[in-house]
Amino acid sequence: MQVSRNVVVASIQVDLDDDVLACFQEDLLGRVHETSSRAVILDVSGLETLDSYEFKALRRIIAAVTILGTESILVGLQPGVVSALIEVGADIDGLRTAIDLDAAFELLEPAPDSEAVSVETDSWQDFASLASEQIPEDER
Amino acid sequence: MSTELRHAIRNEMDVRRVVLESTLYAKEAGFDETRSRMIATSVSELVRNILKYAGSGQFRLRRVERPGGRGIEIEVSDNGPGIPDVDAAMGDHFSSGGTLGLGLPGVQRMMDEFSLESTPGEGTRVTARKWL
Repeated sequence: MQVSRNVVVASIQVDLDDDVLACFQEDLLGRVHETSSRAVILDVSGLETLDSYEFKALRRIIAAVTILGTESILVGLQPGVVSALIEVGADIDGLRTAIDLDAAFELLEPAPDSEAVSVETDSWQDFASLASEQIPEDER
Repeated sequence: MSTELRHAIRNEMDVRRVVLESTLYAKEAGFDETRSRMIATSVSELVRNILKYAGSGQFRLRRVERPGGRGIEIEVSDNGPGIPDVDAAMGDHFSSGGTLGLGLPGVQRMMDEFSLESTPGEGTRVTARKWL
């Protein structure tokens, strides 16, 4: 999970079970809240498949972020995943998507003047403590 | 590679494993990327139903042939409570919010052939085929 241009970018790489999802949702909401981010970008380009159950779980996370007052954009859905989602009749009403990260940031422009904060890390849990030190107080 | 994949379904790890293996199996059987993912998504829906409604069950994926064609067949079975109303489970109720959440209509659309046998109190067996 990274914060860049006041946007939380979270990557979902593995198929998610209930426990991981609950943990992820809690971390994400906490992160959005503490940084007052204006948007969340969920990168799902690493997902090979997304069944109706997982899709509903993803929608619940997006709904939770919306209730917090922040919009979400789903990024990087693979063509095969999209075809399957359409076939299973997934509810895509109101879902914002973008083909890649650049397109997602374009959707969100104009960005407020703020320094990009981006740290390469394999573990966003490690990053949580890092980032809170690196984001100046006045940008939150 | 072996001619078929068999796996007991008992937990979330089993689900992930068979979904991943199904994607590779479908590709090796000659299905393109998109169709392989649809097959894997069907597998995902079916084995997740096992976990959710029956607790545990069996999964099998194998190559099948018919005159003039080849394909693959998914078979899942469990000894769970069964589906009391199969027609309702096969119906689409997406917009009304009344979906049973079994994902079965989706599997039927993603695959070419689909059959479901369910006896309340005894269990459920779903067989689905897709042809190249």
